[in-house]
Amino acid sequence: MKKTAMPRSIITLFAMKWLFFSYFLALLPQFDRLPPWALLTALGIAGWRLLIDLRGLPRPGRGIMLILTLGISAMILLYFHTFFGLLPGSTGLLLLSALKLLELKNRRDFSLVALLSFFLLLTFLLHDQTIPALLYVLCSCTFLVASLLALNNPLTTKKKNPLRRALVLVTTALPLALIFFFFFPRNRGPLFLLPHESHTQYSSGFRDFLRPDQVARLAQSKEIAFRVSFPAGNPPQPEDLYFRGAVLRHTDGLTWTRGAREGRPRELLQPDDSVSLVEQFYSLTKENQNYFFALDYPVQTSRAVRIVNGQVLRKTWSDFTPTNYQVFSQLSGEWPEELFDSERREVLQLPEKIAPEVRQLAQSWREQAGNQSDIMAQALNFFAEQGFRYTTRPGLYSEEDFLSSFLFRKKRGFCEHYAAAFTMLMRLAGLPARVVVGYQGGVYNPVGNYLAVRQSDAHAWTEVWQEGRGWIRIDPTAVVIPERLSIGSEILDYLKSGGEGDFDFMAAWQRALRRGFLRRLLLEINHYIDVINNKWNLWIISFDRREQRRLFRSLGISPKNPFLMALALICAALALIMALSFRFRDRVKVDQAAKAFGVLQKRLENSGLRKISSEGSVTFLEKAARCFPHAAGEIREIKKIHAELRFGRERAGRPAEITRLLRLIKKLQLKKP
Amino acid sequence: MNRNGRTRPSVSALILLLVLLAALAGAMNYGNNMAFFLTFLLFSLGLVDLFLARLALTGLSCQEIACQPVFAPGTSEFTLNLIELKGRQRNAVFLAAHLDEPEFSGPWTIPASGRISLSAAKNGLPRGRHSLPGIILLTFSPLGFFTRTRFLPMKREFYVYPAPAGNQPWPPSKGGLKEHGLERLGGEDFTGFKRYRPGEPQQHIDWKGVAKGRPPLVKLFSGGGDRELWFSWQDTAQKNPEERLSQLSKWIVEADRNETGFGLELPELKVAAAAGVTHTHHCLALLAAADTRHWK
Repeated sequence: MKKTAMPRSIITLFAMKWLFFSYFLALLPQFDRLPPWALLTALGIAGWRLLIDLRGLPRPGRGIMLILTLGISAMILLYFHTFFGLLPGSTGLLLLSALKLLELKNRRDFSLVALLSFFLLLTFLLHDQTIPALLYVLCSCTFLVASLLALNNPLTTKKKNPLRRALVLVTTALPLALIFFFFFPRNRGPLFLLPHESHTQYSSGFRDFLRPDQVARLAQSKEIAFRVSFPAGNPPQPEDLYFRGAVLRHTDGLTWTRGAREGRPRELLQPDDSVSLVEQFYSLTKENQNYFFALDYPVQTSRAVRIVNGQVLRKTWSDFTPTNYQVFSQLSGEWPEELFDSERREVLQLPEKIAPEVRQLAQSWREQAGNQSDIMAQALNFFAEQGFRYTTRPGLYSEEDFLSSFLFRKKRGFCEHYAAAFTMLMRLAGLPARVVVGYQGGVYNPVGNYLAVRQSDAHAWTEVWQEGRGWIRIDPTAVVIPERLSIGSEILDYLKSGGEGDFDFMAAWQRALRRGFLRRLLLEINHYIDVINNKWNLWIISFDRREQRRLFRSLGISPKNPFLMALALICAALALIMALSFRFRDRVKVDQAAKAFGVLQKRLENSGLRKISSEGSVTFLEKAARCFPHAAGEIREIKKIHAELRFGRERAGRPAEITRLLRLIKKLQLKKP
Repeated sequence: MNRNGRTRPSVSALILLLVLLAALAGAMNYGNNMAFFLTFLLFSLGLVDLFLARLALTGLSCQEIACQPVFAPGTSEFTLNLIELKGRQRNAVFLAAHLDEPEFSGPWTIPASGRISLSAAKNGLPRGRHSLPGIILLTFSPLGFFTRTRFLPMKREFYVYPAPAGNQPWPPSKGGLKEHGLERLGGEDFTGFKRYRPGEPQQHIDWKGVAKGRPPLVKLFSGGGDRELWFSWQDTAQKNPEERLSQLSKWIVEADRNETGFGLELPELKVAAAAGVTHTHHCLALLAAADTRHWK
């Protein structure tokens, strides 16, 4: 046979409207991520096309398209300085699909725009993996499918909304997608080098540097940073809830950074057998976060992370960033006797320019005090008695005289100010000291039996080296605002009592009734929502190669070659589709009226009236009407509707008639009342 | 083409494949499970689409095709019923007659367990006996990643008669056989009336008389008397066999219009003189199917 000529493609306005709407849905969640100019440009271009379709505006010529393409490329290059990477790529994709929408001519262009919108949704999921994000994406996927349905069935109109069929298609595809999700072999690490993503874009929460003079107002994000549970049932005291993330050693007087010695696994705390270790299980919420937290001081970890110099955690090389890990911490420990010289030099490092009054203050402590402990006590006293105030809105400090201005004049700040100033004073007084950044505290979730640590719990404190004792944690902020430590105490009562999931809901309920019903109710609901989010993170988001291997092992499969496995999976799916289509090819959809008749026939046969095979349904029902005279009217009515539905002019049954038939059959009384 | 049809990926399927590869690469690179899930969902949607494409044209049957013969440069029209047997509504079905280059008409929607009457047309066919082996159905899969085509066999023949052309007058009538029962209605001389019997041509009814209230009478003419009209290949003056066939065709059409009986004489066969629609079509069909290569 010769090549079949394709029928002329028709793109109805109806299909175009669906495409516009689903494109808009795909674009909407990008608003907090992609640059606003790009989104506005995309919206503008799409709106232009909408006007072309609705008002019959002239289509842009090739020249205009060329100018637009070049202009958009230039804007991306000017804004990002590159085309590569997730953000420039997503922006390019967004604008490219808008341009394609503008010049959309045939079915192929239509499919391309729809599929690019799918890809846009995918880049959104790369950024946000929460349940609401997934639900939103599924919803807009359904709309995209509906627009494709509207394209391929040009006779679809408002009366026959494609959304219902789209929902059926997506629901049919879901189980197959889930099978692939769990069984498609996963890779160990990135395929190619990831473009560096900036981690400093989060305005609040954990940062691996301090810049106390710059932050005028601390943003208080309630977003959860991580959740930690204590599987062994020995949670620490509230005053021990210091989750260290990074150690900052180097300062230029203002900024504190990690310094050069990061990553060298030397001078680690030796595990002490006499002290019981606190087991912690962490589940992180943000992907691509390269910091991992542990209670002071971690000594053992699961394979995903490792302990580096400064007793902080880093991910093991070349793997994906783990989303959960296990750590054993020793709440007090023995350090090596001696501080290495190189380390000592670094933790005593001082900036060149220091205000004389600050230097004088430290010098006076050194002269007055007999030993190191006295110096520390004096410094803490200084913060406690000189009228320092804790505030999240300290206002701006000038770059030149941050320390003297903070210590002697303004005296207000938050943890970063106190930790930075205290560490500097310690070094001036001759004590090796470093800043530790991480989180402190957290909110206990009784439903999930874990501690939820939020971005607003981000904290900074100081560690001072004391000869003979090692690194000692000193939190100068706690001197200024002792309440900060006690926040977690109430909720930890339960944790301490054993915490094996035997949370008494009724007791909690009664407590809730006593203490302001609505507030407690909301709190309870929030706890439940948070538990669901945690399970989602643990079971779905962190499903990786290791988890998959565990799944395979439990099913008794041990795939040697992941490529073969992937290929086999795809072939199996295709074979399944082929087999199913052969199976379904000859299946006739049973008429609902015929089905209803079958039900009635069974009931009549149970009452002793057999249908002879030569009898038609009409004859049989007439016979039944004569046999059951008290129900003759109803049976004849059924006979009439059934005949009309099955053999009448409009055989494709009208729903109202079928409902009536079913109701009549259901209500039919064969036995005399 | 196999009997149940063929599924072909469309250009959109290629785009889908590229998008899937890019999405998979992205998901693998970032180790992002939601991206994996969306990729697999898209892939599954493609599979579901393939499944539906394979079912799109099954359970359709073609019934009762009629094709009127036409004169040569005319348009042959086929009328047929498409019947849905499986209780599923079929959307956007395109249809073409299976000829050299199918031209699709549509889209049509076939209701569940229902039927639609369709017509396909083909113009510019040369004189001859053509056969229509069947019709081609084409539909896009619901998401447009595949096209499904199906061939419904039919084995139906139809004729395209030679175009009536030529300006030769009728050949002279030959002395013939009246006992053939040929009803002669032609001629120029009015000879009288006879009573109209239902079924007779209404051309010669004395309508003026009917208007005056008389029963319908038929005017009788005589002339040519008992002579028979024979159209013969040898009588045509043209050189080109096709032109000769056209001349014969024109004569037959004129004779049919005048309701004159005639016989046809071709180099290899002879059709006895007769009149009526069946006879005319029979003769025209012979002309249409004529193989003139060895005729002189």
